Amino acid sequence: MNTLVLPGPLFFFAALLVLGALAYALNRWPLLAGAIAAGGCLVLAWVALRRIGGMPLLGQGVDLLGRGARLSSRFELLGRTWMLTKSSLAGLGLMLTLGGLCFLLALPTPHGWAFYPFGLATLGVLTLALTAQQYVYALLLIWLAGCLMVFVLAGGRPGETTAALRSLVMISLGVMPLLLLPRYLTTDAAGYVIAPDSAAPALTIQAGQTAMLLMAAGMAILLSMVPFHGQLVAMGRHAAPMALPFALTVLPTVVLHTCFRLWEAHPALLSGEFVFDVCRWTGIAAVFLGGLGALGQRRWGALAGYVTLVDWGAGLIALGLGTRAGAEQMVQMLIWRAFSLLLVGVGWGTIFRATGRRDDLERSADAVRRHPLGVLMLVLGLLSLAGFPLSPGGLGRWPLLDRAVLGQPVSEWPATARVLVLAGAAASLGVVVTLGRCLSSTARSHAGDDRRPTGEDRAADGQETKASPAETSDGNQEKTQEPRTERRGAQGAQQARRRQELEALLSAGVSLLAIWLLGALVLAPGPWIELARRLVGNLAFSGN
Amino acid sequence: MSAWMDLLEQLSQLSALPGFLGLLITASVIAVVREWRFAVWALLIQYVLIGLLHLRLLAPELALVRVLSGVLVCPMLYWAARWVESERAHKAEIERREIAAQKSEVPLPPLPWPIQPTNWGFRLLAILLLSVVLYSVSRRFPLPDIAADIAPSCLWLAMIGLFGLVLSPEPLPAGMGLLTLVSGFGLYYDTMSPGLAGVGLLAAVDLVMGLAISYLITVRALTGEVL
Repeated sequence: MNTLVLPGPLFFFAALLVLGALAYALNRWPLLAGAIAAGGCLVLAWVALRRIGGMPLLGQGVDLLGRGARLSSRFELLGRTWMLTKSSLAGLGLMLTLGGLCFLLALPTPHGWAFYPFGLATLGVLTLALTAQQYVYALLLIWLAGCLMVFVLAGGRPGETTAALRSLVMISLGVMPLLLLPRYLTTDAAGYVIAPDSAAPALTIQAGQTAMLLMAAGMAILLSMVPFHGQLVAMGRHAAPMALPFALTVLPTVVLHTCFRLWEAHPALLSGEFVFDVCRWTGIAAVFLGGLGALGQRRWGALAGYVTLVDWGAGLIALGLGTRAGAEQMVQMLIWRAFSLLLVGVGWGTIFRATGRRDDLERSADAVRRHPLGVLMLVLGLLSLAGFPLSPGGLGRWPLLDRAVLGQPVSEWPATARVLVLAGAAASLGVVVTLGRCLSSTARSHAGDDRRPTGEDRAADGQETKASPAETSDGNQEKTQEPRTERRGAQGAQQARRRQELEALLSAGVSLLAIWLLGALVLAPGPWIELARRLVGNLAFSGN
Repeated sequence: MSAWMDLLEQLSQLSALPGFLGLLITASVIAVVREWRFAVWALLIQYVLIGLLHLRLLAPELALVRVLSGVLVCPMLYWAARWVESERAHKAEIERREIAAQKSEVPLPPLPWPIQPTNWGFRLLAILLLSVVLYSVSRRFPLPDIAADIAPSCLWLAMIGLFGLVLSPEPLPAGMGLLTLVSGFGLYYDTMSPGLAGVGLLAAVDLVMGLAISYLITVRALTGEVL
């Protein structure tokens, strides 16, 4: 039997693009498009993970229409190489699993026509970035993926472009210094820095300092370190619910993978602890700012942004330890954070939909009463991001604290541990206070007679569920509504109720799935920890 | 074909000074002028001028790829901005008629495009200040590994691009600022001899970025019914 050899990286890239095209063609039926995107992504993740685990699905060959098909590891184009290595497969498996879960859990909430097709296209380009064996091409592909991410971030929240624009600007600004880095790493300006068979050249002192500065600047911007954290908070505030976990999961995975491979090829970049100091101090600043910001928010999205900043900062502190364990810890925290954000996305999506795509507390007051499961998801996810004990976020943060805190009086805790604990407590308090405000608004809305219609009320009345800001703010919807016949109104109401019931059912299913995923993560974190270990690869630190 | 190559060869011999002077004007127009049509035309001319400078650093075919990718971005921005303007004008006209019908007085037509947070005088003064900064920086901290007559163009484009990004949260002016910044960086990046694949990917980044900015321009103008 003839065997068809498919180049592995190209297979994943092409498969994701085809899925994206299919999702685009089906954008009139978002449930179907979402199901195809989620299913396709999870199947591809399964293929990648099977290959890591020594059970190559396509590596051994499968029967494809009577013809044998096999997946090769290597792919070359114009003299450049893309390769499925252990670390890139780990990154690919992680990215596709989390991306697929984002698509799956986004099903009940409308995220705009671009979310699924452009999300898949972004994943496709990031696949090429992960598998590129040349640092410069990995960066250019990350940049391209960042441009595509704009479509994911700008959809679902009409008129809201701040998060997408900031993300585009920050990715562009972050990639530029990193693209100039090879000039200071090799004697040949066109040389590639990630080449498995080339020895790392020694750096001169001046070139080394410039290289470290460029790398620190690029990393700081791409990883949203303080003061470049604005895009992270903006994503919480302005992006659709599930766009937040998607953007904060897939792109950092690839950026971290690229950084690790760069450090592997050029260990001299890590000398002098400068990079780790930057990570540690910006991490502490992020934790502090996030904790402080979480205390005074009046919108769920902004609260999610600030609480994520606390967890993000804790991850940077882990990387700033300058050890292999710290780097693994950061990747693990990325995974725990992704699951917490998924929970937030599910809960917030429920409330977001019920309130006609608004996220201020006054609007969501009534939705809190109607959707207790959604609120539970949201609060659990936010508390997990804040690092509440026994939550995934808390478990992820615990290794940063246990040695410094266990058996020690509070007065002898190191400053980092104190900031982490205090910021976590402040963020948790912020979540509880916000929930309290929301509940008190609910009580007020019950007491008063001037209860305004929510998105669901309008839907049940046969009116549009997609409320425009102008429409919801001035309350003069009646002026713009065309007079309808009684029969049409009854039919519309019936259809809206049916759709509402389907959405409620889907929402409940998705919520239960999210809880199950979180429980599975907490009870059996082994495979994920192994994945994080593989993503770090053979990277060695002088601090080990 | 050889005539074209000869022409490109002759253009690559030109001094960078006229190109730099042209970039001073086009980038200033992008940053100062509120009317988007002038800004898009200035961006188009800017890409052509940058293309002439690319000819000094890259093979003619690669320089042409960079120019084409830049030039193709301008129609994307133009159509997006034009669509938004006509939509806004249409909505404003409907509102105006409704108000006129209710109050029996006709209000003035609103401006079709939002006013920028700073006026042109402020922006012009800031540009003058930036040109002084450029003069000082290019003398004291020259960019390494690039011809001395091309370096000021890179710095100028980067500074004006950042200035444009700082000035406005609106996708059109901020997007044009970002494109200016990226084209300045692209000029400097030529010194690293990116090769065909590198230039191709940079061109793809330019095109997708243009598309993304055009999408943001239209999304910003929508109120929810279309999405």
